Amino acid sequence: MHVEVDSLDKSFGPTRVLKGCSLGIDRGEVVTLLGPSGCGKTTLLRCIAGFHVPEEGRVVIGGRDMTLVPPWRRDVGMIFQSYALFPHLDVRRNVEYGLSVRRVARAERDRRVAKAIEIVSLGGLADRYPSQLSGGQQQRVAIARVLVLEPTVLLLDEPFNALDAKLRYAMQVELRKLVKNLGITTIFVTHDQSEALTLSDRVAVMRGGEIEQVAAPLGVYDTPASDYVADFIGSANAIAGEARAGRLEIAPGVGLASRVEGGAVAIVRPENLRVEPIESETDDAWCGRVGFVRALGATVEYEVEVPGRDAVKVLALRLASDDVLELGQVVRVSLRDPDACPVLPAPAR
Amino acid sequence: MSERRTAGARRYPRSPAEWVAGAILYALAGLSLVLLIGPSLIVIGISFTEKLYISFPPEGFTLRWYEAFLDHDQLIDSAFVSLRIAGWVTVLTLALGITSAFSLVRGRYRGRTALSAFMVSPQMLPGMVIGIAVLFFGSAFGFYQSNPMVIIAMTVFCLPFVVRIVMARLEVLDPSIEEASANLGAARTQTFFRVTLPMILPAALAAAAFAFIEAFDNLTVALFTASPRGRPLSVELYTLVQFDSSPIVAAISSLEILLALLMVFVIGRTIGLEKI
Ligand SMILES: Nc1ncnc2c1ncn2[C@@H]1O[C@H](COP(=O)(O)OP(=O)(O)OP(=O)(O)O)[C@@H](O)[C@H]1O
Ligand SMILES: [Mg+2]
Repeated sequence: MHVEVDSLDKSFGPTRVLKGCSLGIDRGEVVTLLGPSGCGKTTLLRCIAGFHVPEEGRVVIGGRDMTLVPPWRRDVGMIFQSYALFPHLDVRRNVEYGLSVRRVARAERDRRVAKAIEIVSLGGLADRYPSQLSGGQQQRVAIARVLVLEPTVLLLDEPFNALDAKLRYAMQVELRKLVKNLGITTIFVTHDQSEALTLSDRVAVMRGGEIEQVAAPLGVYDTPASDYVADFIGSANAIAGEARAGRLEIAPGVGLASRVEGGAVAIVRPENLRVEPIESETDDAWCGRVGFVRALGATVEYEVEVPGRDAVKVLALRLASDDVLELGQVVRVSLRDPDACPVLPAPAR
Repeated sequence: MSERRTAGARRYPRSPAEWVAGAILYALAGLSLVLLIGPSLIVIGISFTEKLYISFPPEGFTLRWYEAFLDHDQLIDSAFVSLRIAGWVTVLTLALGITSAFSLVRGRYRGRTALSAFMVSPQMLPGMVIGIAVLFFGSAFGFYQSNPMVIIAMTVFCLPFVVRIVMARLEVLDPSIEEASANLGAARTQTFFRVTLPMILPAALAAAAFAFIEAFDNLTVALFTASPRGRPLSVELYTLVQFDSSPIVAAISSLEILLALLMVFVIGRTIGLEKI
């Protein structure tokens, strides 16, 4: 483990934000922290950077207990959401800042600054001030300013929020390549699950100050640890029921193999469902009416209202020659692959 | 109503009420401008008069009152006293203003709000009160009217202004800029000198420039704290006008106006007036 967060507790006044939060990250690994607003992502990151001192628990970096080490003595680079560039320094001196604070010799300083500026391709802009740069360029300066110090750990708090979708995607790819090439252990906070899936080796899903699950991107998607994770990563139909004799019935005549007995919840991904128009609803099959249609081009999302049960979300691929179902159309819902639906114990209420 | 085409931008039509409100607004703005600038213009006019006493309108044109001032050793000495006092007050208010504003905004201790209200409260007090207070407080410790006492009283008087402006600047600074500095390896003092100070300095310098002008020409504070010998210019002038009504006073006032304008011009060119 390169970075080890061990049962951190952090409160602000009466609110306990981190509740025994633990997370281990290997050297060179890229981990994203994903979770709803207010779950404590920034707080966890700031504990690792040293801006917060947790009341309980430890932060260990490279085998050293860093819990009580001030931020300026940790070998941890942080990219702030607001970039936090120094407005009174030009790009070169922004990038040079960490070296000049450390009194690195002039020649080496120049060499490393030039290299960092080149890595983030800011070549022609070295003499500009932050206010003369676009958001994407400021972002690069923030990255260069940290990389020039060759940190072993990099923390990023929603760094791409201010960028438009295209640039954002380009920066994600670029950043991933960069940290992988340099072998920097990276923790990346995001709201955006596609960003999490693109960027990371593992995804850590947070919930109310704790880590709910850590797994490879497809792992959290395919085998979520809870219906919370399933709903947070991608979209999911969480269908609750009573499992008996190794079987959970999620709809009339639709059963799933279950290792859970009693209260259980099945995670059924919308793309694992199929809808076909039928004449009229019957009681002995999974059917309902189309309650909502979202035609997105390549795909169509349907929400099917099933009498007496939760509505189900269905995702269908679409070609130009396909008809999109109408609102109110009676349809039959069926599973494509029953084995691809994890069945979890029902969450304690 | 016929539509008129003008070369300028087109506007939507105004209602009579809007028109009246606009006219009143301009009239009031014009009036305040006249009230603000008028007295200065009158003083400048008088300073060139050929008459031997202060009167308006001025007659003729002469520079003799300016020459009289330059030849008047006592007045020139007192002008230098005032300059020295103003210089010290500027340095002191800068040093104290920046440090206390930093502590009030960035500090995390109990009673911070109460302390900041206390720090800026002397601005609510008349200069006379501060002058008398410093005088009595000083004499209780065997410290009497003197230029250092003027400097102390004037610093108390001007400090809130500088503190307020620096606090306002600090409050709008993104704290993550200072955190970024710490993250890049700078300890607290390094961050202060390399990042925080350069970002608040323009505002602080501009505020200090106004403290300089205030310390240079303030009368009420100086009246109670200045010693009878080596008095600052404001006090010297005050006594002068009591038995002499020569336009030399107008000449000196005009020079002070020039000094203030020069200051504003320099700030505008270097730091920007909008920082204040
Ligand atoms: N300095 C602070 N003082 C008081 N409360 C704070 C402070 N910082 C965070 N909190 C509280 O802690 C909780 C978690 O905040 P945090 O910023 O870690 O959430 P987050 O997961 O980063 O959310 P977001 O996705 O919106 O950025 C919130 O309820 C917030 O109000
Ligand atoms: Mg956050």
